[in-house]
Amino acid sequence: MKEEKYQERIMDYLDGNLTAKQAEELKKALREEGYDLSRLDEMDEMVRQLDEIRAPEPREEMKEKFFHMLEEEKSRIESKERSLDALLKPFRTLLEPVYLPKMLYASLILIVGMILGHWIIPDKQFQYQTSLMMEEMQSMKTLMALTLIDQSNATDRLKAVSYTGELSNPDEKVLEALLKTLSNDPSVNVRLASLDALSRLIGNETVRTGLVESISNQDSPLVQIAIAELMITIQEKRAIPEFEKLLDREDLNQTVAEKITESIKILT
Amino acid sequence: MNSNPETNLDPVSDTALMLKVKAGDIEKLSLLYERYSKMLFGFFWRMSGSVETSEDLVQTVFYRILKKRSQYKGKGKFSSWMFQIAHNLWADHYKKNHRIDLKDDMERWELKEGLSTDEQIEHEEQLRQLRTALHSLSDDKREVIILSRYQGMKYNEIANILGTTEGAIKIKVFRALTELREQYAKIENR
Repeated sequence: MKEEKYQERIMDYLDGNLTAKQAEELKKALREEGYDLSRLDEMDEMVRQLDEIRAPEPREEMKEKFFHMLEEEKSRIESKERSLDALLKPFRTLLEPVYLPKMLYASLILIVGMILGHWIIPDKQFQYQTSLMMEEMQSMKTLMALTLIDQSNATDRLKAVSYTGELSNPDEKVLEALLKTLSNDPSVNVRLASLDALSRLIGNETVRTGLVESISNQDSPLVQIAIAELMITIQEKRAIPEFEKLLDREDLNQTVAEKITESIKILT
Repeated sequence: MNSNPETNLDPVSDTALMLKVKAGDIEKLSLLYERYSKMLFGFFWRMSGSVETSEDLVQTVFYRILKKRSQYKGKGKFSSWMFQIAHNLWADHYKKNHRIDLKDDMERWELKEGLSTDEQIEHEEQLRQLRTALHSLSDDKREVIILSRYQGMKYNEIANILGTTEGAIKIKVFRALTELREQYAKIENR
């Protein structure tokens, strides 16, 4: 029997979904396949009998149980709402018409205060961390400068002088090292670099005094002229006696002597 | 397919009621109970054969609906969602009990018009045998027959509840009916 391919069609027949013509066509096809049509009639009869098996009525208790369950659930929800209500009661009082404008005004002040506070005062923690980091970098650069300035290599000493230029507030040790370099370093370039670095620190009295005292120690015409120009710029009259000592030197370069003479005139 | 008048309900209205239950107006569940409790009872009675078990299971379905109301999405028919709960509940119950009780409602057959007393007795006997044959089927075969013949469900709705295709359900119902006819014939010929 090849009823498999007609299974869905047979269900349509049993469900009464086929027209008389379609039902005839189905029966004809089944007959041709060798299907015993009495089985179809038996199944049709059985399906009709199935429909006659009526379920009994449920007992009244079932409904009573349901409504009891519903009432219990309602009580549970109400009790939950009551506890929530009791919890929120103090907050609700604040939202009453009498207090509401005051609450809104207070909230507005608070919000404005928070915004202004955030805007005006930067984050203290961030500020503290930044300043700590800057301090660490300063001390590291100071250490590097002081270490390199004593090196035998002129390039290292130039680097050291360059580091001091990056220090926002060099300490006394750095100033002493720069003044010592200006007076004693064998390299003219290093001495000129240290003079340049010191020229940015002329607000410091130690630097100004040190610069004046170093004039007599200079033997390089380039450094001598550079110091003379700096003294004019900062109008340091204490340089005049030092310049006069230089003029007394027999080995003084002619151009330098002219420059020094001119400088003394300007400062006088 | 059987067109059960109990099932000619407005699904939109069912959905609206259930959405109200979900929103907290749980009183509306009583209207859905009035509409569907007998249909559910019929399903469980045909599956279990026991009035008491069926009443308990109907109660449990509505309890689950109440507790799972927040999960209701409002998509599809409410009755399909409800029968999905009923189907799962029956599967759990059957797994635990695995027992069918057919003895408590023998006097409930309706009288058929135009039959003599002898014919009425014979008719009742046939229905009793058919019901016995129905309960001799496996649980899943019995369920597709009940859902399609008694609950007035379309094959696509059953497929939705059982998580399969409409075609597969149609074939499953056909095979279940074929087996039922064979079982019924065996009982008749005893």
